[in-house]
Amino acid sequence: MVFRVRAAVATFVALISLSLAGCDRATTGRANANDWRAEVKQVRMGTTGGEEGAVVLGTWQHYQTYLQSITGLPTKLYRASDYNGIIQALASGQVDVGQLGPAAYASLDAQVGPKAAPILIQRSPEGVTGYYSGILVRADSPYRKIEDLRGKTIGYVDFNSTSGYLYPRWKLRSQGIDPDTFFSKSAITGGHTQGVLALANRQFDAVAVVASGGTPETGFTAGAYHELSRRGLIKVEDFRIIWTGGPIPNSPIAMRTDTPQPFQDIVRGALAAMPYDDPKAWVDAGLNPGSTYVATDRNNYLEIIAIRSQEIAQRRASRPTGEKAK
Amino acid sequence: MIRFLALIFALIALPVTANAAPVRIGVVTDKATGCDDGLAKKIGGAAFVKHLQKRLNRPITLCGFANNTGAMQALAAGQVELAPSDQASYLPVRDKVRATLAARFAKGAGRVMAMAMVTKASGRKAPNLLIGAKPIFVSAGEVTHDAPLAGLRAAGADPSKLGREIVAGDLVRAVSDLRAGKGDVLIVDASHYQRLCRGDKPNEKPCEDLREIWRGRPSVSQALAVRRDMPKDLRYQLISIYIAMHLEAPDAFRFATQTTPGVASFDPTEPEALVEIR
Repeated sequence: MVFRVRAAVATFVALISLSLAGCDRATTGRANANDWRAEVKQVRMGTTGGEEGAVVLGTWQHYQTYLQSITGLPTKLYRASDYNGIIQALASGQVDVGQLGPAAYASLDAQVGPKAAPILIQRSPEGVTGYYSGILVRADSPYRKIEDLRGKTIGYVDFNSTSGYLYPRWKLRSQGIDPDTFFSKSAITGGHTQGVLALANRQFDAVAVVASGGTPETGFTAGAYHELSRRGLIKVEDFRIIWTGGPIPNSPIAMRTDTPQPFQDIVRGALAAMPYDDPKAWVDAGLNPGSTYVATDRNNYLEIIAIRSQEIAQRRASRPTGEKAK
Repeated sequence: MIRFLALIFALIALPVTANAAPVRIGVVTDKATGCDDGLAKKIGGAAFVKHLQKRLNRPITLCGFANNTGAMQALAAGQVELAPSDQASYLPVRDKVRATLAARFAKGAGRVMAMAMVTKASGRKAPNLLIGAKPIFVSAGEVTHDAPLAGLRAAGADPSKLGREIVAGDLVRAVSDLRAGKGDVLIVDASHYQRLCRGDKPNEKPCEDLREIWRGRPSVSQALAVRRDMPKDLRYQLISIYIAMHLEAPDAFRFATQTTPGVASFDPTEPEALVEIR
């Protein structure tokens, strides 16, 4: 009898130990204000440099310092070389939090569903939370409107770029223009910067790029060609935007949801509070004074998720017979 | 032995929250009962308490007060962790508490950041020196005019003491009016400021001849406040939970905003968001 009771106790203790050990850092539900740091150990952040290249990377380097001071944890920033890099880093759990474009988030969502979620989105001082896709041409070209580009060449940024691929192609279709037949040739340039430089070098007649820091009515002050101009590589006046699509919901900061809840909330709360608690650090990070972060969720990206699905279906349907899917 | 096993089971089943100190949230209610675990049910706050409890993994207790003054006194005394405040109730205890969240309304421009710019040659260096100065605005909208004026008022520059307004119609004309001396101070929202001063060429400083004498946001009339010595973790957790409440827990959000119609969401605030300089 004594042996049986002891065996039962031993089995019970072993089962409890196993069940606790088997719980990952989200499912324990036991991470509280005091123990999440031991569980997380370090804050792993990632960015591609996103839709605006070096500017976004610089911002994240400031977030790195800021979040390190708040969490007291070592903070690592991983820079992915392309859009897919940050998607895979978040999908695999190699990074906990990162910024990616809306289409890249849609791709992440397709891969891991609720294991990652958009948590914050930038809002401009006047309350706008979106940006635009612009089709850019050289100012010395004769092109003034989209119809002028029939039979011409266009450069896209990346298959996972929202403003540089997904959105303009969807919007053009909704305007009765099939981008696959309207343009004589299209190619992927690999980035917004590369796209603008390729246009400057006359490799394309037009490129699709991000246009932000304004609206079609006010004009734009940010985006790839403005940043390149500030770096002295091109002149803004050498280009013009002849078509815009949007607004597209701004690039979200997304976070793994299988991290401890206090960690998720502290990261989101600290970033949202940054422009109010430390407005100088906010501006030093390259963010517009008066802009802020607001909470967002998957619902904000449902249109982009649907557009991405349509684009993939369209690409599959237009693949020549006999070509195998990769 | 059976009793021992039952005890082990009970301990494991015990929610972690039971071990942690409660987070006490002040609410203004005619059922002003102080801190009372039964208050949530009495005033329709069960969903709110449940949401915060789940997210913080700590017990939540609502504490009822007859007015904001009572709530602020309790906050300053360390009897609650978060409480509603307004300008009158905040000022007497501002050394101990700070604003941390405020409502953002569905209508209106919100707390637009704005700047006041003068020419360096003017010699003006502070917003309270603008008495009689002729302000120039880009346009007469809520974002470009009303909100910046409200911000200036909070900073101690009484709009009624400004000179005759110039509404330029666009940014280029507004800044050239300033440089030409047609007006004394250019008052712009942060988006127009960015457009004006950012530049598009390396080392370009389009605002080099101008001096920014003020930047700020309109004050808020009500805010949720916390003690200044609140642990950072808890404050950021509360900010995160509140700013997403309209998305993540609409029932909790309805309770949290029931006394203030038209609220779209919560925003964080700077510590002195309730202060207006007179």
